[in-house]
Amino acid sequence: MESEEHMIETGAAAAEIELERKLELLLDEMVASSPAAPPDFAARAATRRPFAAWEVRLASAWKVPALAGAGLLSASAAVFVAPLGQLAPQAALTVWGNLVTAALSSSASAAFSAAPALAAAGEVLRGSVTPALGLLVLGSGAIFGAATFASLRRRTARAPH
Amino acid sequence: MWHDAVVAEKEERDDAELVRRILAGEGAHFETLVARYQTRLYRFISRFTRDAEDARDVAQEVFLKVYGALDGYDPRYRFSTWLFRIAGNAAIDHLRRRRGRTVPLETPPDEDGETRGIDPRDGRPDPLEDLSRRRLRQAIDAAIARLPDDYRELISLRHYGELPYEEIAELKGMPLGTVKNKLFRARQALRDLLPPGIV
Repeated sequence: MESEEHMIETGAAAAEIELERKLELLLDEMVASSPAAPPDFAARAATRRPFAAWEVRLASAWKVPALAGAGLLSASAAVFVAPLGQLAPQAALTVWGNLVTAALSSSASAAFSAAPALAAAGEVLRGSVTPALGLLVLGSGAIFGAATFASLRRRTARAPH
Repeated sequence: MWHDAVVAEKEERDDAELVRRILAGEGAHFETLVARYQTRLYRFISRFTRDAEDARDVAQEVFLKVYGALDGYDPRYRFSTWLFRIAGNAAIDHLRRRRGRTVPLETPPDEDGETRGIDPRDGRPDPLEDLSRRRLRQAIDAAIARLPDDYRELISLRHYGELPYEEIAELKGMPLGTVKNKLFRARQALRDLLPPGIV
């Protein structure tokens, strides 16, 4: 045993070596019979593994999302183009193209078009805020902020190094 | 000894190969990697958490962290050294988080929910006859829990993580002789904390 060799090197007494050997044996025996991880541990860890930053750079990791996206796009084309195609294929494709463009850009254009309305609402609020309402808004903001901070902190604290 | 070294070298090669394949997109091999180390890592972390559920959570956190940082693993070094370094940090963090709470000088509840206090100096005439196997384990667990953090870490790495001295030295950034000396002193301290007559 390596520890024995070390003790001999350091000139430890025979009794001490014997005690050391006994403790090592006892520890090994205890470890061998101590509880192990649950049987499904590896499978669960594998299931819960995150989408790691390094995976983003892997072309193979994009296979499934790319296939799903292509599938959705083809399905939508089939649904819209098939019935209209009987009338005029060119017109059907144009309609479908416009629909896809509208679906993809609507959230951005909605936010853009809402900007003037939000600004106007801010102006109205500024003119009509009473101290009590101001305090209420500030209080709610503080509570929301504290709750968000606590939740973020808990998540950070649980992250391993 | 020679056989152990050969096995360790083969495992090391296999680990590097598994990591290479995972990084190439064969994510399913991660489960193999976890299965290979789960028992040693779980037992190592249990020495710190002293709670089965916490040990499982921390061990899982460690493996997920390892997966996320796998591209940062340098295959020139042993995978187990890297893994146990991350596990050691996670276990110490867990202890720090828990430090606010009082840790009782008693072993965790048994399956029947009963807890038994340990008096390291209860002076029984023949403890080996009196102590059942479970109580012997509880006495050792309680004594390890009372060791200073650095001694407990070394004992855990050596006996529960089953790491060779050389790997512990690499992991802790200490000379081999220092590791051997510290482990010797840690085991001496452990003997002093055990009820008389056990060793």
